[in-house]
Amino acid sequence: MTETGEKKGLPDVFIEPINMSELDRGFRKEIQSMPNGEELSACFACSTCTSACPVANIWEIKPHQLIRMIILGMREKVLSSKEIWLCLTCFECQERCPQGVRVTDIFFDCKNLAAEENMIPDSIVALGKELLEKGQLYIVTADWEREDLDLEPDVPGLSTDAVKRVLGGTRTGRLVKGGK
Amino acid sequence: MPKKKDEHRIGVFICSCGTNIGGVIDVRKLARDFKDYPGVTFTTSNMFTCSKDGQDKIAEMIKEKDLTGVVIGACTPKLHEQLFREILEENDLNPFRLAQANLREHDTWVHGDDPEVAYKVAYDLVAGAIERAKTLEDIGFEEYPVDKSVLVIGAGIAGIQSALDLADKGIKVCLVEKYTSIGGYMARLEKTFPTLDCSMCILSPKLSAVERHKNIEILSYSEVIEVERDYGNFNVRVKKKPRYVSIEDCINCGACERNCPVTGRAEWNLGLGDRKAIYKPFPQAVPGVFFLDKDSCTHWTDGCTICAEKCPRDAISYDVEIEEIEIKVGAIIAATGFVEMDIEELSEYGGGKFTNVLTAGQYGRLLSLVGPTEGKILLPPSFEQSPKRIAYINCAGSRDENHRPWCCNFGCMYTLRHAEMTHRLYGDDIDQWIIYHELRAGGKEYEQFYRRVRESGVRFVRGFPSEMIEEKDGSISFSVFDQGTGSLLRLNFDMVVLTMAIDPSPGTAHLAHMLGVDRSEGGFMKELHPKLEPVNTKSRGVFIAGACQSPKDIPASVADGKAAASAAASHVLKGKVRVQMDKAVVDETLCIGCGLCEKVCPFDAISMTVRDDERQLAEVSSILCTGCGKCQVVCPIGAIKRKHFTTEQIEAEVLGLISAHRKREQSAKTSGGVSS
Repeated sequence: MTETGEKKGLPDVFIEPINMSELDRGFRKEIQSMPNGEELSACFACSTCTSACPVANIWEIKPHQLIRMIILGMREKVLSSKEIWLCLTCFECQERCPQGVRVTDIFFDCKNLAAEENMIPDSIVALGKELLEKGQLYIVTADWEREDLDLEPDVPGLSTDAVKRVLGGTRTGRLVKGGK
Repeated sequence: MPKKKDEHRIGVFICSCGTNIGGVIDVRKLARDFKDYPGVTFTTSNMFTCSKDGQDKIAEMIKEKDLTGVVIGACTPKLHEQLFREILEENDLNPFRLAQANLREHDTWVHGDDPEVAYKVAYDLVAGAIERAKTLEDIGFEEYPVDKSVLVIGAGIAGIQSALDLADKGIKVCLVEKYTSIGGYMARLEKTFPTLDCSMCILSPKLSAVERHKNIEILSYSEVIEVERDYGNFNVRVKKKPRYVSIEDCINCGACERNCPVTGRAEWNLGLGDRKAIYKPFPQAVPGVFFLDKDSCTHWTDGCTICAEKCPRDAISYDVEIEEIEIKVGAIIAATGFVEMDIEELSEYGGGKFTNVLTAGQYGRLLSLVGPTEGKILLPPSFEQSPKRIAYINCAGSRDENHRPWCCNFGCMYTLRHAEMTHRLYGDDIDQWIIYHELRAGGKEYEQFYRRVRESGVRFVRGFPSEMIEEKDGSISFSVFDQGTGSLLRLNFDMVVLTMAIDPSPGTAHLAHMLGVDRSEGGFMKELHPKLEPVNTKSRGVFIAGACQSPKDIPASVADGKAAASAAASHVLKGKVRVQMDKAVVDETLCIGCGLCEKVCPFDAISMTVRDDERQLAEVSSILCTGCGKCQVVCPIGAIKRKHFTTEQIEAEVLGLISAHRKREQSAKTSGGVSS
């Protein structure tokens, strides 16, 4: 493939163009072969998903752009994006897609791929660590909450040991221990 | 009972048109206000004058009151004038005794916000129409015989369909085709969208049917050079260019082509590759015989006679002259089709400069099993290597104010077809990108086909390319901002296919002029009405079908062909054409033969002819005259009159209008109050 990277003859642009050689032609197939990816290619770039998203307004890369990027093969850009982790997983986009693309589920697939490649944001790793160490994400610390309701201070029957043990053997455990 | 000459009995019918008129002015009051108007015998108002009730009322009053004229205050005459005229005729009143006042378009729609003004205008318009009705005369009809035969110009799918439908009705058809074989653009296609059925498989039965039909005469490699009106018919001169191979004697053995030493540019393959000077453009060509192209043959320069020597049947003769034949037909259907815009006009896409930039038509020929590469996608000019990456650029020259502002209508779909066919042949070995802006897939099952192509793995980028350059290895690079991902891409392809803008066929302008057909934007032939008369033209007896009217795909062209056949059949099967005589007429006692009318007539309807007394005077062909009235305006002595719109009749209407206005002003002055 001819490299078209040389700047000579090209006009000055504010954005660096993405060169074709940076595109991973197999990325679309990779996602498509995952459990939620079958309808991916049906996307016709209507951007309904972005209109439906309650948080995309503050995203740099919008949901429809992520889907188009997957189709064009911008693997690195999608998997390293913070947006796939900012998704609320409310499924508003997926519910509305006129072509049946499973947008939210595809973002889950992307997160799994990114995790495999150690591209998890620190904040997410910290959550994983919390879960692994304490066996729960939300710990009832203020005793008065229960006391006000005339309940005993400890949650009866709560055992986090099993959760910690199970998680330790999963990818979450692996990523937290081996990850950054 | 003979009517007294000056006695007028006018009936006035005011229409409410729902709320269109009645919502602005009081139609009952308006009708009442004309009760005592001079010459008026009867007035009424209706909710809908065009309804059955309204029609019956007119009919009843014509009889009961023995009306001499009917005034209808309603909508534009364009809508119901014909209906109202028929009601008059059915009740033994000459249809031209009708005067319509356009109260809707000319008044209530304009002055809807000021009912008082609207009422005054309505009164004046009706008064004018009444004065006009008093001056109207009986006008008759003339009938001319029409031949039961049709000339179809252009033998693409639209023309072929017209010819077959007409021939099946027992009408004689002469099918003229400029090229050496009939079939048109569809014969060039390998497959058709959205079903991907083989184009030739569905077209060739029709080609054979045309060839075998006893009512169809094919004039291939021929052109219409002159069209002359002969009352109801047309006298057409056709130039038959010599093909130098006798259609009767050629047995299709191919010895001539195999031995021919010279080559020419393969027009059938849109310039891709070569062909011999004697050839057959495609296997199913009709007439199914060989053809010698004089322009590339060297017989006339170096005396080569190899093909004639090799022909076992002596079917080749170099001494054939151009032949001109004259045919007489009752109607003409123009179905002259389209061409791709010249690629050299698109220099921004390297058109004509970059070897690996092709038109979609050329790419379609690559996909053809009988094309230059036998269905393989290979890079020009050597046709040895397959491309690894192909970009299709949609709307190349289309929807562009600098080139062709119109949409080519079928480009999106055939580009999808090309991508799908290429995917089926090459799978992932060719990476395909479609650079588009809007994808228009509006036909039956077209959207489903579009989805199928997306799922085939073709990548769609929404945007138009810029900065297109040819790299040293012949590949093409360009930048495009993809609206989908919001990113600027710099892409590189081995082959770029342009979805070209569409033009009418060369020669359309000349033919339209000969046929008296107007043209619309881009030079396409103009229909009589874009919605309601799509295959009729302003020229009586001339119809249009297919892409000569606007770019059309196969289903639309076939539908057009059928529609034009139906329209032409109703025209010729009546056997005669009835012409309303509301035309220009010459008063020979006044005409001085100055010829001014002849000069201004836009329809060539007036000619100067020598009379028995050797005076040269103007004569109007009533079949050509459209009643535009230009001649009446220029005639220096009022010798030529446009019947039904004579100067006297127009004056009467204007005076009626003005006097109604004046009378109202005067009565307002004397009474000091507001008058109606």
